[in-house]
Amino acid sequence: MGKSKKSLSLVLLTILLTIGIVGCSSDEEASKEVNMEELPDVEDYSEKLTLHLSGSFTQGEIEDDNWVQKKLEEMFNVEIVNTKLNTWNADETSLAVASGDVPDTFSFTSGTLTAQEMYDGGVTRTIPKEMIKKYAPRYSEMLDENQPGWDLNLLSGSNEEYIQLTGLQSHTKGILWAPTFRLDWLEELGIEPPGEIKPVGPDGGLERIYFTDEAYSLEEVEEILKAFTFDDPDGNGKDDTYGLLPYNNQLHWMTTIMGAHGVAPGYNLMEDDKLKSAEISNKYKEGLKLLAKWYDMGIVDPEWTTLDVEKAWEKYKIGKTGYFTAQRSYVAMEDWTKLRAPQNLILSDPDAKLLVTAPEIGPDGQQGEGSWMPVTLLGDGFQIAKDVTDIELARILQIFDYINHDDEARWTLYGEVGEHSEWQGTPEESAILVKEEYPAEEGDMGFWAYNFRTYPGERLKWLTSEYTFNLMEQFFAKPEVVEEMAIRPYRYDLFEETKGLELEKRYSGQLDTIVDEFRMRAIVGEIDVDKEWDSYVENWLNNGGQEILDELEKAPKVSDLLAE
Amino acid sequence: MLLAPMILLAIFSYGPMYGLLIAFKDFSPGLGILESPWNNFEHFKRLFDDFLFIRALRNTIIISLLKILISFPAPIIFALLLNEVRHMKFKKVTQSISYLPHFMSWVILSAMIVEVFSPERGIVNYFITMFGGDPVHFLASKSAFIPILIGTDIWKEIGYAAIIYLATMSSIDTGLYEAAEMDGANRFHKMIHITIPSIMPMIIILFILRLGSVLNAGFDQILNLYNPLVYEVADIIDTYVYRAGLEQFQFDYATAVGLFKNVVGIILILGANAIIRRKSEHGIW
Repeated sequence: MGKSKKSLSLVLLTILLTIGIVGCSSDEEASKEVNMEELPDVEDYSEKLTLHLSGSFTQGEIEDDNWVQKKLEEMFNVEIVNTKLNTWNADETSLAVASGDVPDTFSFTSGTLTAQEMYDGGVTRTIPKEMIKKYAPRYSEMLDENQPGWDLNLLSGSNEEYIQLTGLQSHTKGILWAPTFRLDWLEELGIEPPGEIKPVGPDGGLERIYFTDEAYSLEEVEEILKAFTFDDPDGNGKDDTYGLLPYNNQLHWMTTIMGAHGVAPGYNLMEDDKLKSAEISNKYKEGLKLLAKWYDMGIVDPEWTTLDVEKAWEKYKIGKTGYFTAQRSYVAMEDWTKLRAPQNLILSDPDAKLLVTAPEIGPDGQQGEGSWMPVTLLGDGFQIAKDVTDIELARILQIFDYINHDDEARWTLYGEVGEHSEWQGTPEESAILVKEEYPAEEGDMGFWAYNFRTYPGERLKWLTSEYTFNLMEQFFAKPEVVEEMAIRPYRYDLFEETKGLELEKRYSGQLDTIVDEFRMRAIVGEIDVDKEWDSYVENWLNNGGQEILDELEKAPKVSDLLAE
Repeated sequence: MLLAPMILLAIFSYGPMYGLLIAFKDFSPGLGILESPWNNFEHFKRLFDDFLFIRALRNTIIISLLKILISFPAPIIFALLLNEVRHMKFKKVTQSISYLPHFMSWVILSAMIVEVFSPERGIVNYFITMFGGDPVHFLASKSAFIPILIGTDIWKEIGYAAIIYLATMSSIDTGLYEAAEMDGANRFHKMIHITIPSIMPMIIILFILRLGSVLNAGFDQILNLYNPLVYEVADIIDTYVYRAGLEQFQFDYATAVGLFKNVVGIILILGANAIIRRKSEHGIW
């Protein structure tokens, strides 16, 4: 009996200890005033520090003592502990945050909480402006040059403390998406391109991809899709082709079609003097009706409802689809888009030819697509864990500033050009490709392992082929094109001054379900869009949508933000 | 001797249970489980205010009951049939083939199922069109989706689930069969009057335990097979909470749902056990 009691006591003690250990959380104030005089000088790396680092490209593939790690350790007198977490996996990042087990630096691609929530939840610390200016001068310069730079990511109620560092998303400048058509099919069917066409590049498949800055109208696209479906464009004598191949987990396939109706899914707009979410606007409704009509005509591949984007790319490669929406980098055959449509088809079928046009022209003459970044090119967040000390932060900022903003740090991304990587085209003027014998990211070389998703200075060139730049120059990033075709939200809470994010988090599960279900059922003709529209909108508004829109009214207008 | 397992059980099974507290709190990772503020049952109120959750609850119960009704007896029947096979090689091969799908994840199986039922390439539609019919997009059809769920669930688990019944059958006293034979019983009589009564306690125990997971209608299977077109019949509690809770970092909300499911499960187990105890001598407790 005595022994049983002792055993029971031990078990209870163990439980209590477990609770104590796991449940114990410090409520220390993560933001406190920093004494700059106590901090080391810039480039004073005399004290060896241990840092747990990760970056935007950390996907759990890193090997210890990799090439980049060793060089950084020597340069900054630190011992780097690698992060084996896949920061692109929402389940893994959520668990890391929930358990408080985050690295000293991180930038999760698959989102969990907003920067403010991370800070409020005690996961991250603030970064004093003084420290940024002292230890990250190049980053500071980037903020000076890109408005609203220093005004972003401020801790609520403070002008001196930042809840995260931000990045320059220069790779998203301009518009990204364009419709592509099988040019060999168009030729077979005797359909003329809408304007003068030029090959995107000289060889490697680029000579079979043609671009024009003119566009078909939606009526013309409809006729083309019909011909692609019913007129045997591949000449095999079988009825086995389709015009359009959508997918069920993203909306990029409809971005230019909706743009032709003047609406960008995911954004808000003013319609009939009311602030509306795109998904409950009449413009979106008209877009849905057109897609439903196309489905009814049989020109949409019916299998799309069970295909995600990756399966759709695989299906496109078989060569039975005539139309696909693609990013400018896909049609410029950037190396990282090899598996994506339409590059995968060009690589596998030497006879396939493509036509890339400007976004389709809608009923009111509108052309466009949702702008990738709603307001500014500054975006994404690099966060510092709560337990990082000021001395550690000083070193982290210097590493961050060097590897992300100093062009000399190119080796952290591509190794030594010539040895580990090579120029895709003209040296210093084209993209850099890591040689096949080395891992492009992480692994034993550690490329990209500690970097943040930011592309200031020369960096955009290193990851962008000259053909993408040509396309940007000719069309996609031309100021007049961006002005006319980039659809931005009407209001946007750029400085996170409202409770919009909190409400979105709370209601997005319900609202996404309502929207996804209605969209898909509408397109495949299970419901009559006109008949069901009002109840759908009411349902959306009653399940959190109205609350979100009311909160959004407090956010600034994007036009005002841009004017500022 | 029992101390070590008890400690392990305490640490890994009972210790973490205090995390259930976050079902009643606004969980903040920085504050931790104990320090996060109580929220006056907000998550539970939200659950029952949400018409999509109610729909998911309805779907979960329907799918689960159908699985209990159809999938649960399937391995029993399969085991009974297999038990009657006298050709040992055939019996072993059949058994091995039948439990192979159990070892494959739903991610892999769902890819196979999508191909089998594809309106363009699937073998099912190949036969339909061969006989002059129009292809059917089964996985996008509300009326076909649930039968596919049940059918594929049986296909995946029938062999593995039958093992326990076959093992129980192997322990039946052969003297009973011999005595029945002397009384003139045929194989069907022996199955009805000896085999089934002998495995009945096992059937009842497994049935009671299965009732406990009545609100688990098959998350992996459905997540990998469904799409918004069949949400109306296929969106279950787990898939809805995955989208609305876990993907939005609402662990507290997801825990509240988990707790709700477990409370329902334990009520069903206790209730079923009590009823069965009253009507027969079988039962878990």
